[in-house]
Amino acid sequence: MDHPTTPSGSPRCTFFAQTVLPTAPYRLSRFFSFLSYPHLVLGDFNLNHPLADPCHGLSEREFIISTRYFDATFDVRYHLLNTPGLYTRFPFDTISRPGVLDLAFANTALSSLLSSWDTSLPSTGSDHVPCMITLKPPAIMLPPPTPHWALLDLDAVGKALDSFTTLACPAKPTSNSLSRWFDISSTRLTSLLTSHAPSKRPCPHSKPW
Amino acid sequence: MKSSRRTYFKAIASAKKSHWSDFLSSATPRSLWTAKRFAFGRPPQRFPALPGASNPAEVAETLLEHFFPSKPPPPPLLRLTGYVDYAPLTSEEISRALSKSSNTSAPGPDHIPYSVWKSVHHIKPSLLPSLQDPLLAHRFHPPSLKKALGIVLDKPGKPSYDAPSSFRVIILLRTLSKILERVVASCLSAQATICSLINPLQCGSLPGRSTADAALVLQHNIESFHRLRYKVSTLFLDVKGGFDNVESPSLLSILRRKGVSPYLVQWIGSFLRNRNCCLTFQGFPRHFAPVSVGVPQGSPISPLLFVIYLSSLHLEVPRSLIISYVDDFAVTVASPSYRTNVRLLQKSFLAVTGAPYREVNSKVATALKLKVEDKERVNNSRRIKKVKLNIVKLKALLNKFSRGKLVIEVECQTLKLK
Repeated sequence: MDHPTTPSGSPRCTFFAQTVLPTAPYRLSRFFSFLSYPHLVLGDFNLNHPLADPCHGLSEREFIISTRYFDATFDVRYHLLNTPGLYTRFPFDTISRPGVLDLAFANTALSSLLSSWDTSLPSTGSDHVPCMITLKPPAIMLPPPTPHWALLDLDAVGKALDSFTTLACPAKPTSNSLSRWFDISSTRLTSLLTSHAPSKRPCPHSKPW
Repeated sequence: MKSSRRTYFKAIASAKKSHWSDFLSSATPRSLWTAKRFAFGRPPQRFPALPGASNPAEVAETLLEHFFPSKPPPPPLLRLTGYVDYAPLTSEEISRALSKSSNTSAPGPDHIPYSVWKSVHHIKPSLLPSLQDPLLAHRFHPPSLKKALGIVLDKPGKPSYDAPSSFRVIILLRTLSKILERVVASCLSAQATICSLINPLQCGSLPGRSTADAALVLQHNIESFHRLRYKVSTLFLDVKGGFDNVESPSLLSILRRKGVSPYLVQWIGSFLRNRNCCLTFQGFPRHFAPVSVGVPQGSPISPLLFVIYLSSLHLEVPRSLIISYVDDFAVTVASPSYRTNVRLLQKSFLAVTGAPYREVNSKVATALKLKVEDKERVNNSRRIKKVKLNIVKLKALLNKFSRGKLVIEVECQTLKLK
């Protein structure tokens, strides 16, 4: 199980199985901390708070615990994704009332990528309804993998270069034709080189592309 | 069970500690940086949060405007013609250029390092000349080689990062282009000596010259003047934002006037024209924007072009000597009294910058004068034994050049005799 505060460039999913709700600040920092990368914390928190469920009457103890929890999340710039008052748990017994216990928090880096949060999916048979969080595709395109030039197959390159010839330069070139000639020639050469170099992996232990 | 678990974790911790100690004890100058990264971690990259720029495209636009302010357009491109007296590019010239290039130098937009080109040139020496010779023969630099990556780095220790001045840009050019630029730089360097393009007292950007030469020349002159029982004063000038503020029409005019080969002048004109840059930062828009640069950073030929551009600052001022290292100038004057030195320095400053010293900042002049008088008093007390540079930093942003529009930052430095 990875610690969520470890900076990482790659997407990471961390699961916590907490039987007791952590309320101490040092324990809360395991879930919520200042992170530069998108981070989503969701789960059955068993917490009632006026921000999530404004119609729910709370005992003083419930209010103190949940407020401490919510304050800790807001201090590190996490936002509640739930639509206030939209229930996520419908108990099977008739004594208990429905509640908003399944909460989702997103940090600032993730907020710009969120599209919607709703409970429109069909029931799974559990007393908790499935919550659907839709993310927008990020506008930032990840750079394509670059060639690992240190692993360039020089023998193969040598054989390929033996039969490689540069295109003849135009006899009376204009700036456009000379530019086009150079672009075609250099692209042919760089493509040849790139085809003999494996792509870089995100880290040495990653599988090849 | 508990004790065996404790022993197990203790063994792991001990192994980690001993491995770390071994690593540190056998650290080389290069692996020291790895150790620092392990010990302190990578600092988080700061996103340029500029007021008025709400998305990465606007941030890129603001940064481009700040780092590459608009300049007069270069002269239009003439019709391409081959030169009859042009000597073709040889594989030896490429080999020499590649031998001076570092394999660890960061590549540009094509991500191809020098090591690959070295291997290609070793396998087939005729390939790179056949690709680059037509460009030089027709004194043309193609637009694809004029695309650069601008890595936006935050300057450490700034109180806030909401202004473009809190960042700096490192320009990465295509290595294939830099090979050709290095070849042209060596040609131009050879012609610089013949055509007197660079003043002999310019100690930077030429092979065989260094900061040590500048320091020795300065020391030699100071001691020579001391033997004549003269008082010596030096004014240090620094050209601010040098490369970016070079005006290419003026530079090309200097090269033409000094008799540099026409094909080189035309190629340099093409090299400086229509350049593009793509700024890279977190969430940057992946497109190249046209930028107006003076001489591009990161190019092997840029320092040489810059010192040629500044060569006119080496003026013949009576009883003064101007030594320079790229953009740092030292104006040394000598006379029987420091008071006269101040007047001579003011004259030299007027000659070099075209702006009177007192008009620029009267406080600087006054402070310098006071300091000089103080030195005279110390001098009279005959406690003076050794020459030492006392740097009195009087920061003042001064006037602009009449020709090059370069902003000069002045630091007044006086010689203190102890």
